[in-house]
Amino acid sequence: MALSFNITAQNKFTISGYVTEKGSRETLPGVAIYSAKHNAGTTSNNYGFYSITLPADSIELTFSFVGFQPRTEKIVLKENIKLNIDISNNIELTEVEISAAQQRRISEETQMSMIEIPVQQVKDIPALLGEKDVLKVIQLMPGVQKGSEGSSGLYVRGGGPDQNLIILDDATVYNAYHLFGFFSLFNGDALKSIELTKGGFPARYGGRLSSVLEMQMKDGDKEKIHGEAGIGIISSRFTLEGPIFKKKLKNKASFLVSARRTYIDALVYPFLPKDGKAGYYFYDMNAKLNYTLSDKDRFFVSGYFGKDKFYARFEDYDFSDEIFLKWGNATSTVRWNHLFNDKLFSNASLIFCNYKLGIGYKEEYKDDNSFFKLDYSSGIRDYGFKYDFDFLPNANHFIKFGVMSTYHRFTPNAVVVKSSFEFENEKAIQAIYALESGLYIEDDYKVTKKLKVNGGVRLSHFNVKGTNYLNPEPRIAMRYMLKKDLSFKASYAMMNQYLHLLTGTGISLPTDLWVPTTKKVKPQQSQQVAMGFAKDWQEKNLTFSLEGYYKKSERILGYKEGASFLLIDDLGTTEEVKWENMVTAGQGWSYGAEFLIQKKVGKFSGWIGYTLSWTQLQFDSLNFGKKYYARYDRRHDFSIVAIYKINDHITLSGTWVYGTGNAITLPVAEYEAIPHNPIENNTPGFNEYNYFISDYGDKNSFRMAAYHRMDIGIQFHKKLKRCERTFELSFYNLYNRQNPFFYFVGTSDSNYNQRVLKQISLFPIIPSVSWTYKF
Amino acid sequence: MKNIKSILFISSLILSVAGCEKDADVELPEVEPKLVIASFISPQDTLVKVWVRQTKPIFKPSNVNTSDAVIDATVEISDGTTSATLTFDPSGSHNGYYQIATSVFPIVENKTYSLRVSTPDGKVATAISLVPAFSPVNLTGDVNIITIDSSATYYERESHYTVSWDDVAGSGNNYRVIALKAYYDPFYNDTMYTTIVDAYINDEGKEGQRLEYKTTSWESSYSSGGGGTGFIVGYNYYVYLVNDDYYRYNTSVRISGFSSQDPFSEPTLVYSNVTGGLGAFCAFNELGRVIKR
Repeated sequence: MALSFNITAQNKFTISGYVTEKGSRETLPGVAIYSAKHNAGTTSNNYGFYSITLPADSIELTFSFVGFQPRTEKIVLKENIKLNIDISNNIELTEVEISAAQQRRISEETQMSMIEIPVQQVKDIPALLGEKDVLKVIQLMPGVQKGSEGSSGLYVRGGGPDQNLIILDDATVYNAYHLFGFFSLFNGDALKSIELTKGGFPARYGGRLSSVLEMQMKDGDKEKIHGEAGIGIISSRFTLEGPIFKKKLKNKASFLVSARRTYIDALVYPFLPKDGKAGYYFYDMNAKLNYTLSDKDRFFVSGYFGKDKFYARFEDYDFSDEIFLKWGNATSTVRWNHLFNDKLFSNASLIFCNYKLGIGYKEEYKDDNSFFKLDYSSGIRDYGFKYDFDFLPNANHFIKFGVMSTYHRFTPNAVVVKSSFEFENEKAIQAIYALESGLYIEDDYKVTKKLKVNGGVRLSHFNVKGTNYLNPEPRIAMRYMLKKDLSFKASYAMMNQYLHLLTGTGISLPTDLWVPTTKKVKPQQSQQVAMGFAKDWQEKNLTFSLEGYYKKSERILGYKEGASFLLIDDLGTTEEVKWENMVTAGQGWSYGAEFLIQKKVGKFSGWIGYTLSWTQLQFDSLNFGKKYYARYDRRHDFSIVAIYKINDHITLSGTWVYGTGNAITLPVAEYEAIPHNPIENNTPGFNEYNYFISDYGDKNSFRMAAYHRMDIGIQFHKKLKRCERTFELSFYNLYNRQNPFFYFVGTSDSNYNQRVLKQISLFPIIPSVSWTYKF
Repeated sequence: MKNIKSILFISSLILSVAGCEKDADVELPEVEPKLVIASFISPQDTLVKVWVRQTKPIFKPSNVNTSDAVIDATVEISDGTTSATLTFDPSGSHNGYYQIATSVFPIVENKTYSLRVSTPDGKVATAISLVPAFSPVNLTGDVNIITIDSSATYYERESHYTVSWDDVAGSGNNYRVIALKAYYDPFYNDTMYTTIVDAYINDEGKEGQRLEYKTTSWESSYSSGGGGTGFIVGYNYYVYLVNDDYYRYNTSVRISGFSSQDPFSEPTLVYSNVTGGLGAFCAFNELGRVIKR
């Protein structure tokens, strides 16, 4: 029954509420809500809240989300309605049924340069040593490269691993790696959503130049307790989630706990000789509590805590010593969602983060109880506050605005010496305090039926030791629908970065120093322009995007030649070198094109990605001021990921990656350099000898051999009496390609006088097995 | 610190040994030997010396010996108007050098000199360098000795050295400061020297002011080179005004020697101002010396 209305004098009403998963009541971000009749739609925000304002009418509102059964609600709209919806995570749905729904279409959104990884795919893709890793899966996407074999570092659109903002439940994670960069901190079992933005950054993000990786933890099943436990070659893990006081609190509260630990060291430890023990371990834990007080208020408390430690101990009858290298992150967030009315949603968060790296040495003499301890540590501690608002005044505007402020405490190099000889005691801790803030407003504005623009501005501010930096950052993105499922997108974003990560360019170690912008070391800045096309093939569940980008970065930091992460005395003076004097500023250019075709659901899913890119750097005090290719400038980067569910019991998956080799500095010739000795008379001990020097040619002028590798995995699922068991067998580097990890100059096996270039490869073909139990 | 560095180095070695080693399967750059020049001119020296050697390619078989001097080169120096050819002296240090007396070809401050080295097989290397100039700088050098502990058989003390001078006009000046301790060594029956300091400083932030270089050394009767106060004869202080080429070449050579032991830093590129070759043609001017006895 249609009631006729005068179009210009129509009343409009708002439908709002939360979208949750049926059963667990887990809120779902990014659900598409659409009214075909009015050609109007919206998406649910990070907390599952949606709001859509439509003219009074009879409406069919469709809710759809990848991997879920779509749901349509018939509503006669004559007043503001609160509508909470739950949708089923229905894996048995056939592909035809899924495609019949109006899914969130990539061509529809203004946001470009964004990748969403369904968490389930992270679990299905084969991984090194069976250890499923969110960051490694992201490296398989176009525009994202890895630094070196096995490392989890992200190099996004020519930016280094220091230029990525990694957020877990609103808290910044400073060093996202375990085991010297081979694995990331993020336990896929605890995550709800993973989103990587490479360009076209909306105004609500700021603080890093190259990417934002936002991850949300699951809230915890509000209906029943269940969990998952698994054991693999490297680590064992355990996840438990469920309602708290289900009856008393009426399904309004739930918890989630997830933990992982390596176990090899614990098994091996008792068998090591008493006098010499060494080992390595890591553990991490995610925990979350949430409570829905009412329709208007929800509270969340989430935390992450993890640590890595490498140690070696030696013990004798009268003497013992120990060295260790350890690092760890701890984060916790307290959040409060508040609904002011059905058009205005807010979230307030209090955030705490702490990252610390420590290197230490301790020795003890048992006979006289004398001891000596040296601790070198580097860290950063944050206390932060965020207040974000989502305002949806009508169906054409989705306005976000908010404010954030973080109080940082940097201790880039702290040395503490404790000794039984008092005079040796020393404490040199250099703490720097800084305040980083941001204010933003953005509007996703539907200008016409075909044109949608997301315009915004972010005002970022940084204060350290009396120096202030204030930078407005304009952001704009647009989407123009060329045809029903094909759109053209373009964006511009300016980003500023006030925190810098000094990474040694040698072997990758977690000895990265986080340092602030200071009066001498200015903020880094980038401007990025991107343009592209996005297409959906609804019937086939495929999305396709082709994008080109150009990014110019200013004042990026690098180490001066000869500097290293450890404090070294400046040659010639006895002063300690401050880190500010070890770095130098330069500029970078990166540009390229990315191609992605992706299928997120179905019996057969996966993606194919290809990136063609260039990244060049120029520092006045490096390479004698000449432009050079960045180490991670890899011309071609290609990846195929395929997951095939043969039936309910067997899943087959495989990946193949190819990348042009890294650009490195290689010696081509040698010579002896004579330094100047101005003193002519008798000075034994004065530098009379020559220096044996290598001629390298220009910096990074040599290309390593191309990297390519294939991994496969097969999973067997079996329903047991009380749980479901999955056994996985996977092979890393299936055809045993010896990819070079680094090169060095050695001698030929056949002729000792001839030098040859040799390479060390890290991982040959590695099989692994793992078991997971879901109950 | 050194302990920790070596431990980390060893652990990284373990990581690398765990991997597989083989010959690299990649196209290698093939280069020819290049000329390597070293020359440091100043108005005070009696001789202009130029050392000429060659680079040895790493991946191509070559019978170049990096410590041999190139003896058949033609070495010419010019100040823009006059030029002179240097002759090879095989008895010179570092296996011989090309030389000419400054009485024949004087080196004058504020002048730019150019060097040209060519060999019969067609290699040519050229470089230019400007000799820096200064006006009187009032150089002083002194040591203040503080005794910490002393007895008949043992002493311990701190020596605080200060060298100061007026900054030369202009900005971006680099100086090399050398302080030596002269002592009598009964074994050689002669005065010998140990180096207290050999450092570079620049005038950044202090242009036009009086510059000071301070350093402290701790000594005891166990210290080598002049143990025992009775043996110390005196102190020598030298300050040189060095040009940019000199500074960049000598410091990069020094750093490359140091950092090659540290696997965590990028290889340092050694500075060169030679076109068609490597090494450097540098100039300096002695501001003065203070000899204290």
